[in-house]
Amino acid sequence: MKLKIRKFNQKGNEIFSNFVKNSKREFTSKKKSKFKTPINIINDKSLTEPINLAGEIDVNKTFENAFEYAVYINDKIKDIDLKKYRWDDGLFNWISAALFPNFFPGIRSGIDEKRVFLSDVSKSKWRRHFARTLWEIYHVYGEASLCLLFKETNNFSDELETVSKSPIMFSCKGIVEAYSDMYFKKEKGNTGKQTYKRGEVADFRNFIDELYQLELNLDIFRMSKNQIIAKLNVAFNDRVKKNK
Amino acid sequence: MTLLNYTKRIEILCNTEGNSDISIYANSKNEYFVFQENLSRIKDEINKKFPDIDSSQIKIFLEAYRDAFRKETQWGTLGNPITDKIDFFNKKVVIDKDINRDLGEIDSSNVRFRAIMSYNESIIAASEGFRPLPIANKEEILKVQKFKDSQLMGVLEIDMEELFSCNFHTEPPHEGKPVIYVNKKLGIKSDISSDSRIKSLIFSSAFKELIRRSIIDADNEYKKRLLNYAQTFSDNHKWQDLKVDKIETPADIFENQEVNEFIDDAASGYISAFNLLKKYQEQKNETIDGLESEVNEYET
Repeated sequence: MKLKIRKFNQKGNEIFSNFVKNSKREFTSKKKSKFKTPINIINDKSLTEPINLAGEIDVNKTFENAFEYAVYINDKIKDIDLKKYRWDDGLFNWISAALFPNFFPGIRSGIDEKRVFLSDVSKSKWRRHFARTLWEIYHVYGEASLCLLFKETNNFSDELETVSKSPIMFSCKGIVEAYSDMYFKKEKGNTGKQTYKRGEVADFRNFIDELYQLELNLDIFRMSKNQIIAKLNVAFNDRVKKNK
Repeated sequence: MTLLNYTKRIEILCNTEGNSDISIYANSKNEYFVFQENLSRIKDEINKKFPDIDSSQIKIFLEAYRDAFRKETQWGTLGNPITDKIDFFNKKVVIDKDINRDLGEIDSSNVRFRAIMSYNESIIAASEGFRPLPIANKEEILKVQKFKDSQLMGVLEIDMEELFSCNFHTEPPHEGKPVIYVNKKLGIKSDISSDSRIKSLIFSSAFKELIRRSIIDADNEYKKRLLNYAQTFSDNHKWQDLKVDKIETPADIFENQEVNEFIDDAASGYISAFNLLKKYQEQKNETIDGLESEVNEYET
């Protein structure tokens, strides 16, 4: 079933919030483990508003990984006025509802409401929202975002959680590219695999620890990936060579 | 893991109560305005901690960010910062036209800013993340932004036999502007930047003298501006109503009670507006602390 993308109004956000809470209860009580798109809510004209130049989405679509989702949704909203809608909770809650089975329940912290519902009163938690954050990473980094988006649409990985926690790291292209060079290998199509195991020398957590130190002294945001890697200790540089 | 900060990085104070180094305002049209005319503290600290770095090589970046989105703009260098200004006399905000003020896709009600001063790859000074001060339109800044002494009198180094003097400049391009001339050989301009006591003494004395000269003959717009500013501290007198027509020589001014009251009110108002007494005392305490610690070093 295809629907033109819309946005929830205030009432729509409230109804969707109740839907999420109810889904959470059903999952916790083991009444249900699989969930469907709430078509009646997203298609209700009294709960939603049209968005100029938005594309149509297939509400039955499933995605191989988060990257595929991000590319798909980016294409559908690429022509809308992002100055107006980039931070619009109604739009991203609507997308979250329309593709609900892709996001709920989640693999990690499976039924956390923040993963599927953007609340206007807790904006600092927005980075944890699947539908919006996965899209935003692709929107900012394009093809380079595959290293952060190769996992499932409902898997907010340890790497994604850690990177998104720091405003500098989350918005620094050099860091994302350096991460990709050290810990990710692209495979055919838009898939890939992680090339480190936790606990190894110069693993991802060591990388983040080093970055927190470097950030105190260096203007990381304006450094390229090669400049960043050159500042790390030799074990990280070895990892880059090994990962090629 | 404990973070070790071996850097001498200086903290930039932005949008704080009191003495901000940089102030940023944003309106609901997603435009932002930046005032960085108050960087003397940062310059002093950088001179102390990084004496070998030329301030013209230190770039100032302002970053607007939220989540993965970050928009950076360079606002000049520490040696030559780009800044919006307030023309207090004409009551308007004068913005630098070469800077794009659009916050892009970030909503001004949710955006955070960070100020960075960097030299090559190193951060010399940085602020914490902070929110812009919300305004309905840019004229609202007039109510909030404080008058800076640099907007009142210029400082010019010249070869001279005195320590300092003041007058209205006679040569273009600053013809007619109130200027404090300082002894170039002695490097007093630099001392003014680094020592609040010297600045307090010179500026308060020069301000009083320039007001006195302006009253005698308010024959240019700069003198009128000074007098208008001085008048804001006077409860009883308007400078245009002062009877100066009987003053034939500058010395006669000391006989005129109304004029003297006006000048005294202006001088004490100026000292109070720029916290010169407090700054003097703080600098004095700092110097005493420094001397005591030097003595202690010898004692141990």
